[in-house]
Amino acid sequence: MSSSAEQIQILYEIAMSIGTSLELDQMLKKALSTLLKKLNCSAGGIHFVKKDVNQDLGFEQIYAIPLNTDRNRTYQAALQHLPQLTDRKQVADFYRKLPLRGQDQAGNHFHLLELPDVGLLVLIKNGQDLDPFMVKSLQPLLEKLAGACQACWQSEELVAAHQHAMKVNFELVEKSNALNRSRQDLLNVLQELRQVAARNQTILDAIPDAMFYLNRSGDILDYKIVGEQDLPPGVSPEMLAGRNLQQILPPDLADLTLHYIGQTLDSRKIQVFECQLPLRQRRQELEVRLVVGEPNEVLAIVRNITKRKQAEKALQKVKEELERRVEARTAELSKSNTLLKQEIGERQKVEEQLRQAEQRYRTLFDEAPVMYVITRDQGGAPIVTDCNQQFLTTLGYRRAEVVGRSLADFYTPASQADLVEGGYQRALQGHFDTEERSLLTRAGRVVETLLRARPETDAEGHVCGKRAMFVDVTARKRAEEALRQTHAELERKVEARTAELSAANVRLKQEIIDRKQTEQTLTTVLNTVGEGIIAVDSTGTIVTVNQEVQRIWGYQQEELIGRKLQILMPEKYRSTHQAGLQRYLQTGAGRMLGQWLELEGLRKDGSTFPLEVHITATRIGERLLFTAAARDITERHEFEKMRDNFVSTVSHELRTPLASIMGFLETVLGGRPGPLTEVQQRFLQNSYKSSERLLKLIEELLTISRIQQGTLKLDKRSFLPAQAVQNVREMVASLAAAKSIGLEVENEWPSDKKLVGDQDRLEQVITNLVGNAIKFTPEGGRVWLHSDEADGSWQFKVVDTGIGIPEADIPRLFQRFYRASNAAEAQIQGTGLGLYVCQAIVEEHGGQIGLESKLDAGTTAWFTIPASN
Amino acid sequence: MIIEVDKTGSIAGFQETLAAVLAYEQVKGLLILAGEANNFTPAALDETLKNMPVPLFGGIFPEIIAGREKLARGTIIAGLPMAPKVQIIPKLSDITVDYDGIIDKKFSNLDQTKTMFVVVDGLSKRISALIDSLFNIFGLEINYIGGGAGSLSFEQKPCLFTNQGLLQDSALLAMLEIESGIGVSHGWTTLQGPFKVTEADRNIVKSLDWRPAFELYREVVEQASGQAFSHANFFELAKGYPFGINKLGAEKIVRDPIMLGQNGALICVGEVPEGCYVDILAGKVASLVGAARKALVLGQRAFRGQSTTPTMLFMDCISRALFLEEEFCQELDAIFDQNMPLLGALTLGEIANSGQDYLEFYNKTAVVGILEA
Repeated sequence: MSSSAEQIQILYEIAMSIGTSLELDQMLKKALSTLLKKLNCSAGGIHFVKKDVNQDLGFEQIYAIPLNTDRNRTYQAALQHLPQLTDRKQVADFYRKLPLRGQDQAGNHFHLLELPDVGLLVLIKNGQDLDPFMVKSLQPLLEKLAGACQACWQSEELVAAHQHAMKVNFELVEKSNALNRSRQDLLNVLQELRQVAARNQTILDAIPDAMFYLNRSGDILDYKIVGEQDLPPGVSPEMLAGRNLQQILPPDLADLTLHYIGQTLDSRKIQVFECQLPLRQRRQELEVRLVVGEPNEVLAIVRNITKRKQAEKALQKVKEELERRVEARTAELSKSNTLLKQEIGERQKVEEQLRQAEQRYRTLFDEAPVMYVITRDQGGAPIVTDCNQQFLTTLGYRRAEVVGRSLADFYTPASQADLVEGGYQRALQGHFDTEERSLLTRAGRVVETLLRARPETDAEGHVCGKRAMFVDVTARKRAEEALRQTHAELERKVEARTAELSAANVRLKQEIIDRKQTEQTLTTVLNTVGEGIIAVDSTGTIVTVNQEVQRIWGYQQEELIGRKLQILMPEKYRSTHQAGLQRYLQTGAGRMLGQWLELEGLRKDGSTFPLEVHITATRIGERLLFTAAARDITERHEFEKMRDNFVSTVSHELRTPLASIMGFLETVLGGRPGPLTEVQQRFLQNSYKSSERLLKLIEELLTISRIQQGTLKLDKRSFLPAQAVQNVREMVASLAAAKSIGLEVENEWPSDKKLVGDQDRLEQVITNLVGNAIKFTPEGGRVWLHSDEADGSWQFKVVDTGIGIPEADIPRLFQRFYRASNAAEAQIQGTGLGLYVCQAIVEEHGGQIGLESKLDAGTTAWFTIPASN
Repeated sequence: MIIEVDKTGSIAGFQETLAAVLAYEQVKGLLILAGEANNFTPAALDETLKNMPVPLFGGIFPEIIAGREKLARGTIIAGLPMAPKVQIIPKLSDITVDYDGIIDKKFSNLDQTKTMFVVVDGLSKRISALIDSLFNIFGLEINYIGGGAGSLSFEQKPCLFTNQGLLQDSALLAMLEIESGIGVSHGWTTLQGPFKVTEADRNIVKSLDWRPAFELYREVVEQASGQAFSHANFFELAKGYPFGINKLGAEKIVRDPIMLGQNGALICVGEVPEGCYVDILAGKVASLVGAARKALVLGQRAFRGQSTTPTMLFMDCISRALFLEEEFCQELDAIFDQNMPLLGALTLGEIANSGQDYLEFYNKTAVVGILEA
């Protein structure tokens, strides 16, 4: 718990963090993060009372730490307490309920605190809640925070107002600048106007016309005269200003002028009239042009046209004379003209016909798909005078580039040579053959053509040139060349293919010879193999047999080919064989494959015999083939029987003297004949142990012999498996203790539950398995004996922490005399018969035996004996 | 979690240990804790790190913790059963960087994340700003654990393990979908104070109560310890007298003054806000060891995982070990639980939160994380 002094420090630090910026986001980030950190709150948020887009009032979240409060369940629980607001009164009502505190389902605390006139603060506190004093102490800080928020707003408004004022000021400056620019423009215009006025005055002074500004009444407002001679008699220039026309002009002229002034002003169009004015003893011809000036003012431009009028009159006279002469000449010409027109009409008809014929010829000439060239002989050279469009298009020239040049220029050098050698000369002499010529386009491409030429004669019928027609045969030539090449290629391919086929044929013949030799070799090998070899297809039909089969079964080879394999086996094996074959075809799994099996065979004479067979499956292409190698083991069986009988006899014979030896050893070791030295005792004990091992070996050999002879007899009676396990445990306890091996028994088979079986034999099995476990477990290891009931059977298991068995050895451990490879390495003694005997005993009880092992980790050996046994 | 320890601290040992951990099929990511005495450099390690087939994160710390042992030299490589999403935040001293914006941009979805490992360059100047940003963006919906890597020589150098190589002046944020329980405690108590921090720049305290910071600090510490400061022994003496920043209803946030700055300033691990009040703290062996035990209890209490064999990650401040000296083994004994594999580091600052308190960057603090992996 913090002391009150520390609380005051904390409040002070919070207070100092408030209002450090006039930017709302920055201010809230600093203030809220300090507040949460110092109060050790897990979250917090600022909500402002605001109108949303629908103008509804609400508490809008403005800032929160963490930024996303959606995942914070306590925060969401706090928000559930915010009311729906419609007006400010409800805000005030809600504020009266603050501060509000609460808890969510997880026991975390929340606080809703008023930010006066602004909104509210949400605080989330996990673990221990804020004490009421602290909450109350926060009030002035919250007022400060609310004030800081308002200051930020005001700042934002001020900034906005400042920005607006700046904008207006900027616009005013812009306008002022624009006005200044306008004033300067006006001054410039004024200056220009002055210059224009000066230029106009100069122009005005240069005009030889008198000018008057007049109003509608004829008052002279301004004027410009060239000289006093232009004024009516008795009128001086000084008298003009302010006078009326009627005061200075004759009345009719004054009226006429006033009339035109009125028309000018009314129509706003220029009015021009001519008049006469008596000046200096002569009447002067004047042209008056009235132009609209200022409103109700006209500018009268008065030009003296007396001389022009006089010239016009003289000109009129000459013109009239000329017209008269022209009329007379026209009458003469009109007559001859009529005759000429008739002649011209006829000529035009003929020309039109000629033109149309020319046009048709030209069209034919140009549009012909062959190239036409007309040449004229000039110094022995064929100069082109015309050619058609096809010629130009094919060779890529314009007409102007062709006409006037020698036709030889368009030939390839070879064709040019031919031409020089006489082709053209022959043509000139009237020998026009069809020849092959190669033309050269502007781009340098060769165009193969057939040339047919005809003589061109002049008007007098002399041969003066030729008309040459070139037919483009380039495509045909190329096609011919391609055909020739294709033909050559085909010839080459046929030759090559023929050679290949010949070689293949030779190879095939050799291969057939080789294969025949191989087949003969294989047949020879097959027939010399000392085992009967039978190949059978997927239907079980015999495909091949060797001669040994003939010897074993008594059938001829040809008697067996095509027959089913079943004829070689007794009836009892046939259904199993068929089922095994089907299973292999369906699943690919064959239990009989890849190992030597002992079965029985059925000879042709109906007798059966022991058979050892090894079957393999082979796929040759799509064909599945089973190959069986078979041996008649009748002799071997007889030998084994003899051997077993021998072993049995010898074992019996050995056991009797051994029992005697051991008896005497026990007696001597018991000290009855007299005391033994320590060395003697040790030697005799070794002898006794060796005798024990020898006896065990003989016992196992005898048991095996009985198993082989089928004479192993079980003494089946009711017994207690729990007792059997206990007996064995006691028997092996000393062995385990000698190696400091922990021996544990988990007996879950009911102690009073009995089972029918040969207790001695089953104890022999257990002893063997446990003995192995102890032998193969290093000193300090552990061995567990587990007896249990499983699926109606007695299940016994021995688990050890021994050296384990290599995986490759496990399948063969139940064979006679087989020992795990690492047993010899570890110098662990044994005969390799124990497990074989165990298997025989267990199977005689209708049970199963097996083991699992992992190298260096340990072994589990087990057997089951059915309770119904 | 597959944990392998190489005590040689050599590059070869590192690579062998790495190969051994990666040989486990279930390993989808790596946490690497290495001792400073290994002298690992980017030139020696970058190629190996860049070619890693799984995402990794971790740091080079003054010392590391493997079981009950603290190692100056060696490497702990922990194979994680799921791939962490690792993000690198560079420029951890740059005052212009907006960490809120960077984190918001880099992490679009945290739905599956339950625990975030935060490993920072402990000699960067804006670690607290980064931590504040983490809180601003993620809040306390996830657990945080981590600490500051770097050298006890206080020379900043590449100290963060990433798939881009060894980095410095950066932070690694590694998100994992594993449950965790976090406990935090330090055991330091007020010797004298409060003093107002009248001038500070990030992790540099320039003045206290309007006096040069060292002047005031020296007065208090020399009087309490009976020893005199010199340039050579500053940290030797200062390691027993850290600053404490007040926080309502919680242990003070400790700031460790590690070096003398210019003009009587004190350079701390982690930021000290200007305007706040600090106390000068002192500690005792018993209170510190008790605090470590408390951190363990808090972590276990907060753990909601289902695993019966969780792993313990212990991020403990190097200055606690320097202060406790031979007695540090008591601290390790206090948190050791033989049912939990223990790995950790002696750090330059610690980062932790178990969902109760405002997320902080701690100094001189013991942080226990119980991890369901």
